[in-house]
Amino acid sequence: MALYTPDRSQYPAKKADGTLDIDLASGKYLKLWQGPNHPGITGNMSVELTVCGDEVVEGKTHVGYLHRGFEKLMERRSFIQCFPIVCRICVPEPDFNEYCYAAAVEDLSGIQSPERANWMRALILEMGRINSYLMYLGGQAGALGLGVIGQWTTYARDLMLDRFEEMTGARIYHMFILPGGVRDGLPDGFDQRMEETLREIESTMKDVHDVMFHNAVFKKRTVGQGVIDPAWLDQYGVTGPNARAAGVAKDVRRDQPYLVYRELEFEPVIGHDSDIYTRSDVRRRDLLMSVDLIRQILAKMPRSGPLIADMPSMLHWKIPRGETYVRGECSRGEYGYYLVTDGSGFPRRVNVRGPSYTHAMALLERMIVNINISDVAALMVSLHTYPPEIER
Amino acid sequence: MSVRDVLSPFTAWKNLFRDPVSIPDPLNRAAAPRYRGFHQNDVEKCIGCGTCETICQNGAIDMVPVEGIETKSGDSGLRPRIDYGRCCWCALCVDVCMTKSLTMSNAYTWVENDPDLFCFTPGVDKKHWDNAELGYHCPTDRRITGQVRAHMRELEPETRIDSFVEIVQGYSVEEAILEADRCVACGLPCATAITSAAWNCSTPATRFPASAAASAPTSARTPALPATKATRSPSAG
Amino acid sequence: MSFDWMKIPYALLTVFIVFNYGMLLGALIQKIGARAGRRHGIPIWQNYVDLIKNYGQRTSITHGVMFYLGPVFRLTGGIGLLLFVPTIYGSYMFSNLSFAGDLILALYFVFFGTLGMALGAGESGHPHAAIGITRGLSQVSVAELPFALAVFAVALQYQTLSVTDIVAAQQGGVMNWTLFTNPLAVAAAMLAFLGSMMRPPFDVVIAPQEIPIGPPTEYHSAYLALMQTNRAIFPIAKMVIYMNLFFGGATSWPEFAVKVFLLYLFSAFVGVCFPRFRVEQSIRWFLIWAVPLGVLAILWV
Ligand code: SF4
Ligand code: SF4
Repeated sequence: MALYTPDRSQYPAKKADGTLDIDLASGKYLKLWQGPNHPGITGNMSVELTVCGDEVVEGKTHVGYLHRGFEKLMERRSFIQCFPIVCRICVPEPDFNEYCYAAAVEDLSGIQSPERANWMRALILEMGRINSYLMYLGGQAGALGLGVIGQWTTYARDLMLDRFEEMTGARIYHMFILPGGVRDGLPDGFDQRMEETLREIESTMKDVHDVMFHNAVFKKRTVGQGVIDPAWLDQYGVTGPNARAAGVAKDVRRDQPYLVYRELEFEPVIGHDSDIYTRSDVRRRDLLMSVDLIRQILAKMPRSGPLIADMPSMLHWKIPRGETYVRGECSRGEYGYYLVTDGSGFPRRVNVRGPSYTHAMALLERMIVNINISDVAALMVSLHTYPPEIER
Repeated sequence: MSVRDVLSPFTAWKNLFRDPVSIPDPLNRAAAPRYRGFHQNDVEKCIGCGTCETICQNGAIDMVPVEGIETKSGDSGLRPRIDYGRCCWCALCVDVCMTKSLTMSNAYTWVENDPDLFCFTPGVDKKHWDNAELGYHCPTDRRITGQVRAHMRELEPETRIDSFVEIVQGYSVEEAILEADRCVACGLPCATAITSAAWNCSTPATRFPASAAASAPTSARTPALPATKATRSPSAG
Repeated sequence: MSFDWMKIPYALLTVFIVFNYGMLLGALIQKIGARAGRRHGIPIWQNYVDLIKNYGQRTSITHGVMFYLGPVFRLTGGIGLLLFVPTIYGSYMFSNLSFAGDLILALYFVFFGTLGMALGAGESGHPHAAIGITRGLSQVSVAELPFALAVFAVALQYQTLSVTDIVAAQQGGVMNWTLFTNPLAVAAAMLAFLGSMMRPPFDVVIAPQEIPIGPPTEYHSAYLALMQTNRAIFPIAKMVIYMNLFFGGATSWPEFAVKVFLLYLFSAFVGVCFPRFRVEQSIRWFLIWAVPLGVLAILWV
């Protein structure tokens, strides 16, 4: 370690109020912006780094590059008009927004979505989860320069997008889970094409396993890096694979089953080392579990029956006063919608609990200290954050 | 670090002689049959009720006068013009369309130098996808403006045979609001409301195939609506 | 020694051929790499399109003289390197301006371009560039180390500093190549080769994700085009040296083409499969794996 000695004496002292005493004029420190237009950042956010040599002494997350005020927009839109908006809160996995919003609205208006619609929803959510993980794996490998993984997973994701396209009519923003049910049933021959897609994904994942997870350099960069201390999980509200990689089996699908998860067989995937490598591995195995879940869903789901409940006229739809919180386990952790209604035709308040909010702000800022600047991208990607969730 | 970790990555090269999977010609890829692509409108069927304009949360639709279409009873003479600078292809307008005249093709490429041209009136401005068969169409049995007519309570035959109570009672306030909410308040003296001819709907109900479904009696209605006063007069027509 | 002026147009012809070969080869290697990613890859003429487009563009900002000179230095490094090594052994036309002792000059040229870049991009005042340069210089230096050792070993082995003589000594059959007469030197040099090709695992210098985008972000328009030109020439020039020192040189253009292709492919072959080391990891890696090989190579001789 002669070449790289972390000399703690260089680090800025803490001031009385707990902030760091960083004297930029001394020339010892350098401010660096990683983002907002930088390949090493996840989406439209940026991290303001203060570095000392190659080490980060302080990192601050800055968001707002994407701020459209989704939550505020919804307060001036009728309940059905919110439906096309919510999916935009998370681009790579929009379905959780649609599901959570629909579930919250149904909860408050006392509508029961039909059984078949619930199966369809679960199917969509699992498909979305696979997409999100595929994108993540490509990103995680890409952040460390292993571009070929991203090329494979993009292909696999593209196949899944094809399935989305034929099922929902769109590739990215599916806008399929209407409050009350879903828009449509499965197209003809969907099962078979889905099975082919799943096989292709499995074979891609096998390649990914060989090239990414059995890779000396990848291990060198990720094993032991970016460890989330299990003690932080509750402090920072860490959920999803980030928590499961730390050995805590948090999974809303099992803890508070929604939709049809009670009828599916699965066991939350956990890891133990809580480093970047383990988190990638947990996500890889979770992806394979989703593949299995899709097979179960397709085998068990009813093929006939209503897809949408009897709804009042959505043009003048008023929902009685009330508040609710619904949640689901998305690929990044617990996704939740808090909805308040006041009896009018508009939501009084919609609050989106995106897992990235805790992961990319508080947790990242804590973890980023004392790591090498080259590792910032890998660390950030490994938390699997999507910025729109932060600045709904 | 084991030897496997050094050698295993090289398996990536097994793809060298496999056929590539990227799409060689991405510009001419056909979209799925249900794809929500560019809008089509059957202007003969459309009555210019403007419901699509009302529901569009992006404000992408404007109702504009169209040459050759006269304002007459049951037809405002206006047709929806869509601004593709605002549209997000959510298809709510298609779902809500009272006549099912508005649909979506599965075409998704359209190149133009002048951005203003992306504001167009489907069905009136001729486009290459006007006759496309495939694309998103709202299932005929789905209406998001209230599928089911609120059931009006009836008395026992013995009671009602010699009384007008049933007719005088009519709907309760809640039921009346529920039923009135199904009116889309288009302002046309017509039957976009597929209810019974409670007010002046001059357009024959045959225009709406769904009116058959609407007249089927149902008694169970789940949605609980607030028992507030009706803010909107049902007699919009 | 009288100078034969005719050598100059001939040398320029070499540069021209190498440039075009480099452009096509670059695209070909990209296509091969794309195959590993299950893609079709770029059209083979893509590099020409990019180059012409970039040459047609002008910058609208100013940074300072050194900034403008950076790409020029870099290109000088590439062309200079090529000019002073005999590209085709035994051919009067393509032996270029080589002379006795040119090996040292060639080594100098390998470094020259990087230095020019460092000065130039440093002048842009962008902190990312500064980081890229620090990383670049430290990594390139350490990657040069095994190469230099290997070169010394070869020079000792053949008792000459003239590239032409070294090639001459390797003629007469594959078994005379340095590859077989001194495999350790070749191994050390090939590891160094990986380090200098700016491909994973040693491309943290230009890694876009890990902060320094380095020169490609700072340079644009015609400056970028100059650097692209250099990217077509410089790797080939470097490979010519490798080919001459270790793989028996080339006596004809087809032989040249094949050997350079294989060398180029080698870097892609490794590069596609691995992510990248951090700077200090790659430095350590070179010191642990490559440098001892170089030292052994010298001892072997
Ligand atoms: S598709 Fe959606 S956004 Fe587009 S015009 Fe229709 S309602 Fe408006
Ligand atoms: S809702 Fe349908 S019928 Fe009414 S104006 Fe729009 S397109 Fe025409």
